[in-house]
Amino acid sequence: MANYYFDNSATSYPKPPEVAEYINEYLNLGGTYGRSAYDRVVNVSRIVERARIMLAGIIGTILTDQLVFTPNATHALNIALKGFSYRKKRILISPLEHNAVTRPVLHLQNTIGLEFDIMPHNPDGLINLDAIGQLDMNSYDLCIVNHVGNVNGVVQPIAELKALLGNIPLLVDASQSAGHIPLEVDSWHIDMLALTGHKGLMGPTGTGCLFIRNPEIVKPLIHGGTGSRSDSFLMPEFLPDRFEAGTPNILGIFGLYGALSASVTCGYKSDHFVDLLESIERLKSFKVLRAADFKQQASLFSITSNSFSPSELSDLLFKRYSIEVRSGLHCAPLAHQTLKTFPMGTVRFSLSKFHNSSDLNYLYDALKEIDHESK
Amino acid sequence: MLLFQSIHKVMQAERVIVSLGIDYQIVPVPKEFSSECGMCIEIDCSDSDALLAELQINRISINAVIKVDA
Repeated sequence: MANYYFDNSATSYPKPPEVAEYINEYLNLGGTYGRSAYDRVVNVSRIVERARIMLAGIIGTILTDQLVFTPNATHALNIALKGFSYRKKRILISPLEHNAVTRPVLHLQNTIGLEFDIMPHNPDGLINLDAIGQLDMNSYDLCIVNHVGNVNGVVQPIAELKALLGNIPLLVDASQSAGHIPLEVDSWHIDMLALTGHKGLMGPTGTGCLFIRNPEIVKPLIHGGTGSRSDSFLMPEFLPDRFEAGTPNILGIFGLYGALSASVTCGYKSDHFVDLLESIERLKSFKVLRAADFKQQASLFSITSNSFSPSELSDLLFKRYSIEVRSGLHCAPLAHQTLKTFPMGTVRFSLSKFHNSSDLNYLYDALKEIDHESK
Repeated sequence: MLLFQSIHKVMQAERVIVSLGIDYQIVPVPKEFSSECGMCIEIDCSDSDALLAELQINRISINAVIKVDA
């Protein structure tokens, strides 16, 4: 079946059928998470905890109880950023950060005087490890990196970065990488990682998680009932409860469990994706924003046009070809400043495993037609 | 009866119990431990040594072990 939905970095579509099946199952079964011991609750709690364990496997950690469910990656990043104990009040961020990081950081700048430096980088936003190695790491409390840039799809070298940081904690935003690229939280020594369930993992919206290796470095953002240590007016010290006040999004987690249980094979080959990018680059009216080296390229990219604004081009793609894409700044003004596409932005194309070679060819043919008309 | 600090630990322990083929029941936490996570696991005493050893191997910590007369 043809799939002209190329906006999977916004949210994935279609979802594996298991997502709806498990959501439907929960709607029929009902029940809450923990707090009691009757069968309905036990059954719900089993699925929630299986989802947690599967997620831990996906991000590459054996520390399953240090993986906290959140409503989304933004919420997870806010927990990490606002709960972190800053001493030097200076942090390092990558040049392709999303507003999910930059807005909390700017909020902290205004409220506690937090300062930030942008990591040295190449024109495509790839961080420059040699230059980072020259920085005085003792100046920083925390380093934040967007694993995959949501504008041009650059994949940052996480393990190598962490090796340079030493004891400086590293917070990784895996919103655009989880489900697309292998994550190795334990072997890369990542301190904190935030992800969303509805993009590469293909689950429902309203799901996400935060991994915290050393819980003592972060205070909870939200306080409330956990169904545990209820005799205390304070949040429990142990995880995941310390960061999971309130009833979780059980409906969403059931759907996420369905997504994680599904077996979906990618319908296109990476070589074909690279061919697509190179072919678009040969069209004279477009400029492609991608990683300089295809080895650092995830399955999303952007273009700008000599003839159309991003919103005009996305509108044309939809009205004439039924191709769904996102235009503008993609909530990442810092990334666009880095890539020199601010303030107009770009048109972004983001793939999923449900695309096949015919879909990629269809996209290219549409752009080729537009390019010819632009001359 | 095995008590755990969180639902996560209860469910981790359940997986170990199932893998060992031990009969078990998930039951409410006794009233003297009402602040715990709402559910605990009841097993036969004869299975406890093997299970406790396996839980330790899997790094699943237990808050309390309570002996209940049948």
